[in-house]
Amino acid sequence: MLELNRVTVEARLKAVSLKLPSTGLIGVIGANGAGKSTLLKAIAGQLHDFTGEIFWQDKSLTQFTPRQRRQLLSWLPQSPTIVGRLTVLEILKIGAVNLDLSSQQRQQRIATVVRDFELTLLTQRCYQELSGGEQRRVQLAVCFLNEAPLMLLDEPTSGLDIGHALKLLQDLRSKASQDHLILVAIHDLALAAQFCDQIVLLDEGHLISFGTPNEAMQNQHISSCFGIELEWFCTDNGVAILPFTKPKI
Amino acid sequence: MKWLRAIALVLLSVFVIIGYLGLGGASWWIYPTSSLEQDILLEIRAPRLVLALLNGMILGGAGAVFQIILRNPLAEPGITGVSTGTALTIVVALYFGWQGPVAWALPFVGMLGGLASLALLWLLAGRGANPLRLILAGVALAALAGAGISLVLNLAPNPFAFQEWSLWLMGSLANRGWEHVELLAPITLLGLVLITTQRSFINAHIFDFSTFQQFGFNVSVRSLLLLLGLTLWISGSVVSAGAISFIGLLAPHLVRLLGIYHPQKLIALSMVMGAVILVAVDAMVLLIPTRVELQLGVIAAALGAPMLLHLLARQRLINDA
Repeated sequence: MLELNRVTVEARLKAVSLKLPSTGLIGVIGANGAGKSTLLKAIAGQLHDFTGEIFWQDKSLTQFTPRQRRQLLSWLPQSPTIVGRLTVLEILKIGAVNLDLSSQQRQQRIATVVRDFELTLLTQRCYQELSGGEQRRVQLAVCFLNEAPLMLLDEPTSGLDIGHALKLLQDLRSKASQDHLILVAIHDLALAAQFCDQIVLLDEGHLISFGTPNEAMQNQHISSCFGIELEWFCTDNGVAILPFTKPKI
Repeated sequence: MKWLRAIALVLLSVFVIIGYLGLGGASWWIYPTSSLEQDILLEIRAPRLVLALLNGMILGGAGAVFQIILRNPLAEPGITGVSTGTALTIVVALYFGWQGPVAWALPFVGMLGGLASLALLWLLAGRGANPLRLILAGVALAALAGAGISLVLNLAPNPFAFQEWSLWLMGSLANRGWEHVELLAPITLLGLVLITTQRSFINAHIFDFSTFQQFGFNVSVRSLLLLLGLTLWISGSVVSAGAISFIGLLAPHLVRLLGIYHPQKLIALSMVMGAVILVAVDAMVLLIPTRVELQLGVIAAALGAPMLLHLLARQRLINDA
C-alpha cells in the first residue's frame, strides 16, 4: 500500500492525503498546473522541499537507501533527455545499473524490455536519429528495466501514436494486475477512463476526487477543474469524449 | 569504422613517440651508439616523453570526465579551481624560499594545496554534486586563487624570480627527470583506479538529472570519490609540469569528432588523444628555434584554440547540411 499523508509542496500541492492499493493502474488527471507532475515527483523522491509523509508498505520512503529505492520504484520524467550519439542497446546497458541482478539476469531483463517495447530492429540504431515516438519507447524501456513494484510515469503516452499509446496502456494494465502499482499522469481523459482502475483528480494542488473512473470523473468535478462540459460515449470497445465549452448565458 | 579510426589514432601516437625520441638525433635509428647520446636519450628525452604522455593522459581524461559529469561541453580540468589552487600553493611556497634543501617537499605541498582546494570547493558547492553549483564554486575558487597568484607575482622579490615563476605557471616539460616520473606515475595510477571504480556512475550521466537521480547511486559519496581521483590527477599534473591549458578541452572534442560518444570509450580515447597532442606539442617546443625555449602551455593554447574552432565550425556545417 502507498500512503500519502498531508503531502504539501509549496504553492504546488496542498495537503494531499491518499491511500492507494499495492496493485493497480492509477491515472492522475487535472488541468495544466494542477500538480500532477509534482505529486509524482514527490513520491519518486525528486523533491526535497516537501512536507508530509509518504509510506510504502508502512515504511517511510525517506528510510530507503538510494539502492533500495532503485529496486522499489521507477520514474519516467515528462521530457527526459539522453545525450551523446549512443545506440539503443548501449543506452539500455548503461541504464541497467544498480539492479540487484547477476549479469545473466541483467541481459535477460534487457532482452525483455527490447521485446516488450518493440525495439528489436532499433537496438543498433543511434538514439538521436530515432523519431520522437521511438525515443519515447526507449525511455520507457529504460524505466522498465528494474521491474519495480511502484512505477511513476509522467505522461508516458505523449509523443506516441494512437496505436502505440493504446498498446502501452494495455501493457501497463496487464502489468498492474501482476503486483505492480503504476501511477500515470495523463492528459487524455478518454484513455484514462478506459484503462485506469482508479483516478486521482487534482485541481490547483488540491485533491478533488479519488475513486473508480465512474466516481472520480463525474461531470461536475471535470467541469469545475477544466472549465468545460463533457459528453461521454461508452461502448464495449472503449470510451470517447466530446468536450465542449459551457455556453455563457 | 569507429574502431578503425581508433586504431589509426594509436598508430599515429606510436609514430609521434618514435619521432619525438629521434628529434635532433639523426645519427641513430633504433638505439644510439655513443654514450653521450645514450645519456641524452635515457636521462633527458625518455623521462620527458613519459612525463608528456602521463600529463597528456591526465589532461585529456580529466577533461572528458568533467565534460560528462558536469554536463557541460566547455568544462576542462581547470574548471574546479583545483589546478589554480595547486599552482597558488607552489608559488607561495617558492615565495617563502622553499627551494634548495626542502625542494623535494614542494610537490607534496602542491598536492596538499590541490586537496585543500577540493575541500573548499565541496563546502562552497554545498556538499552536493549539483553540476551548476560545482561550476560556479569552481569558477569563484579559480578566480580567487588566480588573484592570489597575481599578488605573489606582484610581490616577487626580484625580476628573476618573477620571470621564473611566471614561466613555470605557463607549463613546461623542460628540465624534468625521472624523479618527476616517479612522483607522477603512482599518482596517475591511483587517480585512474579511483575514476575507474566510478565508471558506471560516470556512464549514467548520459541521462538527464531527473532520470539519473533514480538510478540508486549515493550521489554525494560517488561524486566526492570521483572528484578526489580527478584532484589527484590535476594536482599531480600541475606539480610536475605547471598549468597546461586547453588540451583537456580539446582532446575530448577531437574524440567526439571521431564519432565516439560512449562515456567510457570517450574517456579512454581522450587519454590517448591528450597524450598524442601533448607529445606533438612538446616536440614542436623542441623544434621551434627560439632564443629561450618556448613554454609548452603557450604553444598548446596557440595551436589548440584555432584547431578547436576550425573543427567545430566544420562539424556545424556538416550538421546543417
